[in-house]
Amino acid sequence: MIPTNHATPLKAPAGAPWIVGVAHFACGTLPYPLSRRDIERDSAWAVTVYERLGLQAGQMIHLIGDGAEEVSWWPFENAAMRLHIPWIQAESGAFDTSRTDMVIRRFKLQAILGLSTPVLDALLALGRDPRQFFGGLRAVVAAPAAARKLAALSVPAWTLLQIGPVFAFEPPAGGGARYDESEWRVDAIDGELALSSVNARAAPFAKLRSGLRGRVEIVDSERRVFLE
Amino acid sequence: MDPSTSQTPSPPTAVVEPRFLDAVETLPRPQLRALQEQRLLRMLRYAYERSALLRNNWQAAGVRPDDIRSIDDFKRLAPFTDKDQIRAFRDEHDDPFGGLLCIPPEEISFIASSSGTTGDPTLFTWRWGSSDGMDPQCPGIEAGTSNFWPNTPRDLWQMGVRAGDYVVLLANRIRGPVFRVLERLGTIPILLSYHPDDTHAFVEMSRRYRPAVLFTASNPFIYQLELLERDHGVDMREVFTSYKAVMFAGEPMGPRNRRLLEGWGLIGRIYNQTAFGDIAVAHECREHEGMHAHEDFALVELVDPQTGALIEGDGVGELCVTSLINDVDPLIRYRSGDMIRLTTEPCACGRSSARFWTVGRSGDEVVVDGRTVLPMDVWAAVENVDDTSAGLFQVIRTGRHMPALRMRVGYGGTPDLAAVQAQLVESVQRAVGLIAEIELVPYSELLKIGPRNKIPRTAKQ
Repeated sequence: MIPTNHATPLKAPAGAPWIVGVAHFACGTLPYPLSRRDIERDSAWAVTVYERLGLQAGQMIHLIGDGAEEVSWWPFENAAMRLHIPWIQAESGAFDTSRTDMVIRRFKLQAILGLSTPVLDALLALGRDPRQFFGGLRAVVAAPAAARKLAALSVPAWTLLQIGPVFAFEPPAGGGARYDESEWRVDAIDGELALSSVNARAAPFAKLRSGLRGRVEIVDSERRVFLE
Repeated sequence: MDPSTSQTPSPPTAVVEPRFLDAVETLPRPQLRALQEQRLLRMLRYAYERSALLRNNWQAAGVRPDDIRSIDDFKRLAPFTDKDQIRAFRDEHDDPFGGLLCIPPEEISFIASSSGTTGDPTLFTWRWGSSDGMDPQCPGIEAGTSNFWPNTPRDLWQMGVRAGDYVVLLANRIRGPVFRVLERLGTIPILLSYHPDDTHAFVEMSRRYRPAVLFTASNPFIYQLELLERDHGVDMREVFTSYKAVMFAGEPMGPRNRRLLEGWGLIGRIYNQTAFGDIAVAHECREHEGMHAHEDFALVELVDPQTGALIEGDGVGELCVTSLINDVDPLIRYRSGDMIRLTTEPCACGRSSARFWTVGRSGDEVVVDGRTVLPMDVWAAVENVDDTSAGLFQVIRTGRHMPALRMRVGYGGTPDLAAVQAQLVESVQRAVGLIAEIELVPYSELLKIGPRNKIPRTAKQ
């Protein structure tokens, strides 16, 4: 082994900040530190999302998101590795549409997570037939406006809600969006979705308003989020 | 036994001199060459068995790994590879990896890719070290080396970055989860994007966490900071107080932006980053005398871009690289298209690796009236005009030979466009001796066409 000054791998204390991102709320942009413990819990929940999407080892997926959203995507990357699901990534801006286009054309994809409205619009502008283009996929998980647009084009899509830094997933048939209730609580305050942390996290949040209009209902003993 | 440990002056258990992360960084060049040769011969056997493209090319050239017993044999016999060959193989065989993949697809963890400015992006495929993703490693063919941005930890260490430091990471996700590289050093990444809205967040996070590194600034990002300073009175010297290093990437830094950053107190703390032939990235050291090519990871050659002939020794030519540790999708004798100036002279920092300066991309040059012009040649000419000082421009290139120098240049505000055009024509003529045809467009229009951290510097129309 080559001598090194490197502490390999450096293990930070479980609760100490491991990475810092930003979270967008109605009150503005807030720092969003995550501990290793936070990430491990979030990754465990992300595994259940892939299982609900019906994904299995060896099935390639496409993740679309901005660099600043990495704190939200990181658990989903870890979960994919845990399940041996390879992923290929792209940015969510319209400028990067050609990458998503290439990924869908060249790979036998099983799912897309994070399809943004600008990318969807640009794909449609390229003349892609949505039913043909997305038809072979096990799941398309899209931003709310993109999911509505796909539904209108007869392509069933999951809706990806972003409540601050937290992702919630609503199936194509509706019924409200699930989120990780063991870590978070979403309330509707005066018709606006608000986020609180439940567990001890590096960034405790208390009823931070998201700027999203919606309601919360109990469905099958779970809190589900409905966007309005 | 690994020659890097068996032949280094220090025994394996010795403490590495604190300025260097790995002892191999200062390996005397004869021993470095021995290490390269050992890794090269192993890599050739490994890749020939697994890479369909390599086998295809080598069989066409009538060469087998057994024919090669030294680096000299390799330089004499091995055929070149380039991006066009990879794309052709990809299209002919419906193989998205272009025949490069050397591991079973089920072992892939994730796939990153290049910016894709010249066609479908080049893929960079990775296998991760631990299945839960929490171990920030990505093993290469060589024990103890990481295959994911392998030299970046060394270069950050050289810049003075240490465990516990905060590092602002402005990164596109397309290049893969680079924050995992930062974690290898025990640093704490702060994740932001190049989106203009995040420029305010950058200022706030810099004041709150006092980071050590900005990884990485770009021309459009600096322009946004300049607007914050000008329009909102933000004191950029105060914002950058804690920074040991501001890394700059994506494209060359123009002289005006360098002056601007130095005016913010960053003299000696600006580090350029550039592509290292699509197998890694390369950075300057604290001496700022070229990008270090970590040659224990890659064999570096210079090639005449027109004839394909090997250029012996130091000089200017096309960068050609061979990966020595990548067991996933190694590039073997890969012509990068990047024109560089290379030197193997010792660096004052103490490292023994070669250094290079990017001159331009061979595919970017235009020839007008017998004069060769690269985007870098007209960069300062654009920056020197007040209303185009952000240096956002493109050279129009429908082919290598152009009847005239045509440029698309971005401007800010609402200036007298005729006056700006006249100033640009004069400034460009002073720089390259050609009268340019110039199309003026608002900055915002140019920024829409790139990945936020840069714009394509040549355009076909």
